[in-house]
Amino acid sequence: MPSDTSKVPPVGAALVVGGGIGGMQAALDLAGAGIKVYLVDCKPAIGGVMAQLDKTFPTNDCAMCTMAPRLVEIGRHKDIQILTLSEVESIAGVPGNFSVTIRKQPRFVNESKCTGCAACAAECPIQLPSEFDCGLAAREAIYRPFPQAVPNVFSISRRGTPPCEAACPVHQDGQGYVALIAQERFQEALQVILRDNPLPSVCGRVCTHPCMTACTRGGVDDPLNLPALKRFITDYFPDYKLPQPKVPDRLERIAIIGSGPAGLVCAYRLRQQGYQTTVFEAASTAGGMLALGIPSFRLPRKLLAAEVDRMRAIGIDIKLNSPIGPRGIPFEDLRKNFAAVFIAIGAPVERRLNIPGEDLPGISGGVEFLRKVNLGKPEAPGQHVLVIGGGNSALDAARTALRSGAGEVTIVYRRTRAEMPADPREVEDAEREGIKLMFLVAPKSFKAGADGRVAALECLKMKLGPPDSSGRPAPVPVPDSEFVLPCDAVIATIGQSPDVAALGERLGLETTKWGTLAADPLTLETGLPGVFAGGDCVTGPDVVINAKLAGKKAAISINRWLNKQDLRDGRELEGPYQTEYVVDTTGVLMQRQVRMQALDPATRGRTFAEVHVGYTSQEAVAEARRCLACGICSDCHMCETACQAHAIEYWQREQKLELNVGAVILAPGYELFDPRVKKDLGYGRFPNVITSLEFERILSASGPFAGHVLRPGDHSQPKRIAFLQCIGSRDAEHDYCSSVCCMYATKEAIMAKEHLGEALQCDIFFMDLRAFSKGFEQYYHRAEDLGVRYIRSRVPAIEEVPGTKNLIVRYLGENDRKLSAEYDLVVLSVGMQPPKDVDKIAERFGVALNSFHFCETSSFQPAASSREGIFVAGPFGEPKDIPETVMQASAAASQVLCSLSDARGTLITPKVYPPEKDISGQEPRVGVFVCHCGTNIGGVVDVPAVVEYAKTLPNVVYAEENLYTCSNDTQDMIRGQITEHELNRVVVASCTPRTHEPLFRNTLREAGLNPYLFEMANIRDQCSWVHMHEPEKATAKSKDLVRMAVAKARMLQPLYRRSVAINKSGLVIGGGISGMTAALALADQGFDAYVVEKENDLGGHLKNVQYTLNGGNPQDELKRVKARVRNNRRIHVFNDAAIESIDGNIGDFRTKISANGASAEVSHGTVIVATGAKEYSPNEYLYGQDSRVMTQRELEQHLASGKALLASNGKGAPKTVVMIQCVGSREDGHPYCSRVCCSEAIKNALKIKALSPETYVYVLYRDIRTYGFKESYYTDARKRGVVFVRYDASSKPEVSQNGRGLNVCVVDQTLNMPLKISADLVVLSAGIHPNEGNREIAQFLKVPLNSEGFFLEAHMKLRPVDFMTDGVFLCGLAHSPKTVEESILQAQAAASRASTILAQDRIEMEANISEVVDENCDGCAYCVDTCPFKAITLLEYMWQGAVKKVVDANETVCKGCGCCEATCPKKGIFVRGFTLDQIEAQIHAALGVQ
Amino acid sequence: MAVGALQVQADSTLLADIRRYGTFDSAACYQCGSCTLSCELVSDSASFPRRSIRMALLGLRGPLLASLEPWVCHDCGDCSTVCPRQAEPRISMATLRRFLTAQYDWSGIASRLLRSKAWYLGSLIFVGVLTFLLILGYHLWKVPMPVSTLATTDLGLEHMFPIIIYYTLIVILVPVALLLSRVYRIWRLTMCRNGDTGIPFSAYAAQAWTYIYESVTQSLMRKCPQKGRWLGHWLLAFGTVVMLAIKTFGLRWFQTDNIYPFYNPQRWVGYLAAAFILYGIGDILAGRWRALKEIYKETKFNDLVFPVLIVLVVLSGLTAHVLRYAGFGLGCHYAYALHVIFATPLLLIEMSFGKWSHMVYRPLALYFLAVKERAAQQAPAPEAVPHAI
Repeated sequence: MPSDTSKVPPVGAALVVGGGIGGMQAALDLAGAGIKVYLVDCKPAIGGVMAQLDKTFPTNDCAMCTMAPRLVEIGRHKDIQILTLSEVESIAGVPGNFSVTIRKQPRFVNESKCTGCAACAAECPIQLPSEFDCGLAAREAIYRPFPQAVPNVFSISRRGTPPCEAACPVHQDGQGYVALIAQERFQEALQVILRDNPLPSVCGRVCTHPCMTACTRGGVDDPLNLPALKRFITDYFPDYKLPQPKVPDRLERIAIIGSGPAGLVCAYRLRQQGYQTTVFEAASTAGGMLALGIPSFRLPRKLLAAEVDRMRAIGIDIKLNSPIGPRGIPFEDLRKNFAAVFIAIGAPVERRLNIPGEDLPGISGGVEFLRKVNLGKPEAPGQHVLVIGGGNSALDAARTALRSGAGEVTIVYRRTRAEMPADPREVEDAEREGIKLMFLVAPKSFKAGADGRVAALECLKMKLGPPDSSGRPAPVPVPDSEFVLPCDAVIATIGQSPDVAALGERLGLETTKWGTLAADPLTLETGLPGVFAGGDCVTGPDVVINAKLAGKKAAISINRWLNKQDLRDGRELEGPYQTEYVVDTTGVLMQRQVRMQALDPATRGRTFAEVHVGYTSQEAVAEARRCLACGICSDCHMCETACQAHAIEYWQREQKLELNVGAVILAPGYELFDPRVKKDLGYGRFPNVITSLEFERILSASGPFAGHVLRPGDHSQPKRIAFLQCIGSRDAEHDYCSSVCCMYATKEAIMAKEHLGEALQCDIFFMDLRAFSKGFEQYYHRAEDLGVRYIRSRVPAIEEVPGTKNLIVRYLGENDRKLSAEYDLVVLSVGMQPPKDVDKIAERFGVALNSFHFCETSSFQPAASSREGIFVAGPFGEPKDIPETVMQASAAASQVLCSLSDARGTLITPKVYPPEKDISGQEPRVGVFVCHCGTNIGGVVDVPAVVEYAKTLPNVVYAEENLYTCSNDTQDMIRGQITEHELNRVVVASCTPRTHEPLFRNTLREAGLNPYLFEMANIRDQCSWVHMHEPEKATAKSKDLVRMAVAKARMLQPLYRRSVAINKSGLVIGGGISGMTAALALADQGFDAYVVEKENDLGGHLKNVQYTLNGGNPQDELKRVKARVRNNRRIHVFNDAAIESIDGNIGDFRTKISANGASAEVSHGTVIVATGAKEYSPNEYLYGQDSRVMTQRELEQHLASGKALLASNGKGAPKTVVMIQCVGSREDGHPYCSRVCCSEAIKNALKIKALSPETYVYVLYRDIRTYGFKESYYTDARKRGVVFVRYDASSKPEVSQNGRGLNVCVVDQTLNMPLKISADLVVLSAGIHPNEGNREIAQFLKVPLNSEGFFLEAHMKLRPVDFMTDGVFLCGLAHSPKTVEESILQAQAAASRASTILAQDRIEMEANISEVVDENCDGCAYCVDTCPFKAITLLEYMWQGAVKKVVDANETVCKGCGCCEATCPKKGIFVRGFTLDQIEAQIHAALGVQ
Repeated sequence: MAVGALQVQADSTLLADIRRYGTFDSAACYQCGSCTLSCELVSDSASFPRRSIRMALLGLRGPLLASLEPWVCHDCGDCSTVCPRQAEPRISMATLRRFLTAQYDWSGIASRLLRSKAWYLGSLIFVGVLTFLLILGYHLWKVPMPVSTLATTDLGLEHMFPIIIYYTLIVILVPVALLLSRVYRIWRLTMCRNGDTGIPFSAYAAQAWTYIYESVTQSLMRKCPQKGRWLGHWLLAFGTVVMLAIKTFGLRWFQTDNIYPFYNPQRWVGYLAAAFILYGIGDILAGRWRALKEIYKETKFNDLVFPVLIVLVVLSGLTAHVLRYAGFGLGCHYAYALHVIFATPLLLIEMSFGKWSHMVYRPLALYFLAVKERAAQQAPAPEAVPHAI
């Protein structure tokens, strides 16, 4: 519709939502006609469901092969911007000027840097079910959906940081190293570990593992034993090294006081950034509490020493015996000599019990005791040792005392086991070793013995009270419960505090009331500039991993401080946090943690050998495989390492984009029905019950089984396959037909037989076989001829045979006999549903949904939504097939083009090619590119051998193989090779030039080569496909074809296309609703339209349509449309007109029209054929002999004028109307289905019931073909009492006259019973037959008709309104039988396609056309008659005094077929690009002669 | 099959006729056959509900009347669960059974009762009131009530035995006679098309056990998915038959002034039968009351009144019994009168014309189907005409 001109001019851009085949078509049409397009898809690549399909019916073309060039075209289109992983969040504004907010999810891969090389995926340790393969195959976490994906870039499935990593204070990437261990990639696991943790062997042993506590698997069975896995890696590589700093050394020196974990981590991290780090340690050994406080049976000394040595190996200076302070190195010296200082002196001072007798000999602190043992020789503190406390230190002290020779060790703890802060496993280990535990006992005082040493501990019994500040129940003394425990030594381990007295106060550092150093908790800054403090000396005694966090923080702060950066910015996520997402663990199988082997408790308690022996490789892998991959991506960064293009960007976050567009096309597609809902079908329970889409993937060469048809259950070849129709269609919940299932099941059965041979049994269980579109009925019969069995029975349930996992299908046979059959595989033909989030889509875009929850459209505006400026395409509006989707997409584009015609061309960028290289005089330099086509070629032909062979051919300077030569990255690569190797001829050995030649030619052009310096060898169709079972011969033939192509390529010369000015008007042949709609669509875009109508009035068949199924009024609409046509000054109507001739070519046609006796000639740039069709005039069923027998159309005229026809005959008896379907359709001579008759019969039956409910209506049918929402009217008709009787083609109904009325006899197929119906009226559903005039028009336009006489489009799926002849388009009944709504859509689509030409000023012609060699031509004129396009004329003129005869070829008419060249005896005419020399060279090459 | 031979006239009025007997919502049916496939009772020789519903929809009155399949259906409701169109085949089958019940009755009374709530209730009340008047008349004119004797434990029932036995025989044998006349009619309709059965007597004789076996066991119902239903129904049927038998042939022994000890069969047989009946009825009523299960989604009025009436008969009988043993003679008399007032319409209306008649029709249909099958086996026709035509 033209927009109101008073408004601001519209925006010359459109938004297309959904990148399926519909969205793609709309985008191409719009961009082709000068509208900038934003193509939004929520998936990482466009292509929709069609990309997943194997073949398409009824032509059995490979779906991917037909759409891949289109994908590439969109991917390369300068005026289409693809926004993947994006969703529209909101839309505001008015038609013509919408502002749209888009939310784009992070891809984590830079789209412009990624080359699609797939090196990343090879490194990824995460395997996920592939969505593209319906879960039948696995993909990596970094992936692209399919190799030909557009954009051809990878993306990462990443839910977020894994919980283990988030919970770890230093964010050690647990899932990362676990995933790598699971794949036995231990070396890489080590790298992942070292990235965040320089002391892994320590962490693997003594860490309190918050990672394991946070593990999601803990909620299922046991958490993953992450520390043990980490330890396994460090054990596996005992001599591993820390990575050397990757940056140049810096001058700054940093002093670190304390060699505990905090100090070492800080030193390590700073060293990695190039700083010179020096660690000062007061003790004689490095490691701080790790060395002094942790016993060696938990952390062997040599491991710790090795860790320290590794630190030294990367240049960290560790100075032992170097206390800082008055008795050692003065602190001021450090501050002077070093750029920054980090104080990490720990908390080595013991806390006191503060009870009487605490200073008696024989009583020591835990730290003091352990330090003594760790530094010197183990010495038993006594025979009866009491250990006071319940933490890990208490256990360490107790177990160390035992190992040092103590006779009996008892731990005394004032709470119970449940409150013990120690690791429960450690407690268990200690008990096994013989250590006793006393709970609810608190020390009161120590008693000295005779020797003055401690001899007993007086205790109080305790009970648990209310919780205290720590959250644990407070121990409350039990009054008068004192008792005495005899002992000869006591170790008190009740806590430590920092030694700040030694350092802090005297150095001028602030301290806290708890006796710790004061430091900023986020940055670790102290009061002194450049001095940072962290670890236990700041926090009080804490676990190792928190000390490491302090070291990490200090390193970050010091680096920032030295670089004068903000110390606080962006540090919120340092330290542990909880992830926000929830991982669904339903369906996870129970599998307990792998237990780690330990030394025998009976003996280990006496030695200092390490208690736990660690995992073996097998154990580690088994444990690692339990990981649930919470983050999906494990953050292991292996892809980052693998990516040569540095395209991995983990930091990406969700983006919001604002777009300004003039119109929106919604093509979000559909959702397949999930058959799990129907439990009796067993989908999800029985492995060999699959959906049709899964079967498509199984059939596909690029599918999970590489095109071998195998059962998913056991990968065996099925011998019997059942297809079950109407799963999720045509039931009470889905009162609509999904329109495509009958045909795709037929196709899948045919393809399965093609794969597995004729012997394969394919049975299709159906109710009505809905083969209603062009060529479908014939396709269905072809399937029957191939032995596909069609069984008319709906199957409600499937059973599985337990052993074989075969499936039993029960169905009803003839005479309702219950039969059952066993199948190896059952394919459920699942129906289409609205997209999952349809309500959200409807709400966001403000469009209405219909009662089926699809987008609402109207009969006469079938591509428009309820909101102005927003249009609809594809199954979002109604379930539909690919051609209907493509038509609706073009129709929607046409509507957009009409509304934005003022802004056309304002936002597009002109295409610029590099200047063409001059290759004249150059020696041919041929490059050969041989395509694997996945396994399509590579599975049969030995591609590397072909490449090697090509290299040996003359003038071939370069040859290589490609996985997919047509993919975007390969195109880039070919361009690179052309430049690098200075190629001046290119040969591609791949598929057919029919689909791919334009693509490769364009590649040449983009590389600065003339596009005609290209030759193609079709080694797919002609080698790998036809010689599928003879790989050697296929390879040999491939070599032959490549040799021939190279031979020709060497002789190729540049050719140049002629360009033609476009006449900006269109001819529309036919003035029915299709023609008028097309003309209006052209005129609304600003193009002139000439409408030629053979009758004296416009309207065509619509004149006879009185009402529509859904209640619309066609006559009102017709009036409106006619008025609009008449009032439009751009539309010129010729009534009573006939076309006398059509000359010319795309852009410049000239047509002679005779109208009302006068003759006129018009010039136009395009032609739209809308000649319509006619109703069959029956000669059966007494039609024409008895006035009570009429056609549906005649009935409709009667009914439109009221119920007179139905009035009863006076006696009050209601009348009976019998309708007979398929009259003149699906019969010999007219083997196709007329598509509309079922709906028309139902429409009229409902009309009868509405006018006269008591009238009896019988419909005799063969299959009811009410596809889409028409099904609901079929339901409605049955509910209203219309009786449907199925008859078989072999016993047609019989109509005879009786006295008062008519008798109709028919055999009801359900009961197998002959019925006699007394009828007052018999109505025949006469089919739609093609017009005889089609033949003449087809000749004028040089376009083909199909065998039935309808016009044949360029491609049944993807080009349903185009002809192979450029500039000529097709719509309406001339194409095939269809409804008014479909005619309108197709007419708009034709106009849209035409406007992609009319919008341009000039168009380039094909260069491969014939050329006359004047000197050779002697005017014999053999070629003139041969030319099928009438492109050649004979010229006679005087030359040098004699009559010279030569022929002339019309460049715009010539199609380059070559008939003339073949006829000419004198080499006087040839087709450019196919010269005799070139062909001769090819033949010589084929024959192997020179 | 050729169009020509043996055409059946489509009777457009049939569906309207059927719908007078209840809901027949299966117009939404598109003959997918899921119902038939889901049914455990369907066999090659007896296929339903699709065929039965199809006949009704097409107006094939003759074949429908000749069909026995509706009686094979035991109302489990699986078909309604599985129906993709929610066309409720179970309910349609129940309606067809009511339709057939009416068609089998030559008097036209069954048709009235099954179609009209007023006729149905009215007839029950009419017979009840008539019974009351008979009892009143008996006491007013024939045997005056000696109040003095009634107050004692000696109940003085002896006086009415002669007349009550004849009365009982009449109210039981009249319905039985009526039912037998229908058996003939059903035989004519279903087995005897065009006046010639073509089925040898030997087939009838050979399958005779089917009738008895099905009557006694109702075994077909065990194939239904809800296993508990069979037990409840069987107990009800068994208890009812025992009660009927006792009342018909052992009234004098069963209903005396003697106070028998508890172990005496006279007492526990009665108790057991009553318990069976009450269990069965309770099972049915509970199901219908909950109205949740698929099977009882649509409950017809007489589906409720019939069991309620049985409960009233049993309870009034038990009350009379308890009062008798407790020594409340007068109370016992009133309770007994009530018992007779409830029992008479149950027998004369429900058994003769109403829902209860299925106890004869169901086993009969199974018997006839078995006979047909046997006959078909004995003489396999070269081109077998589809059954039930």
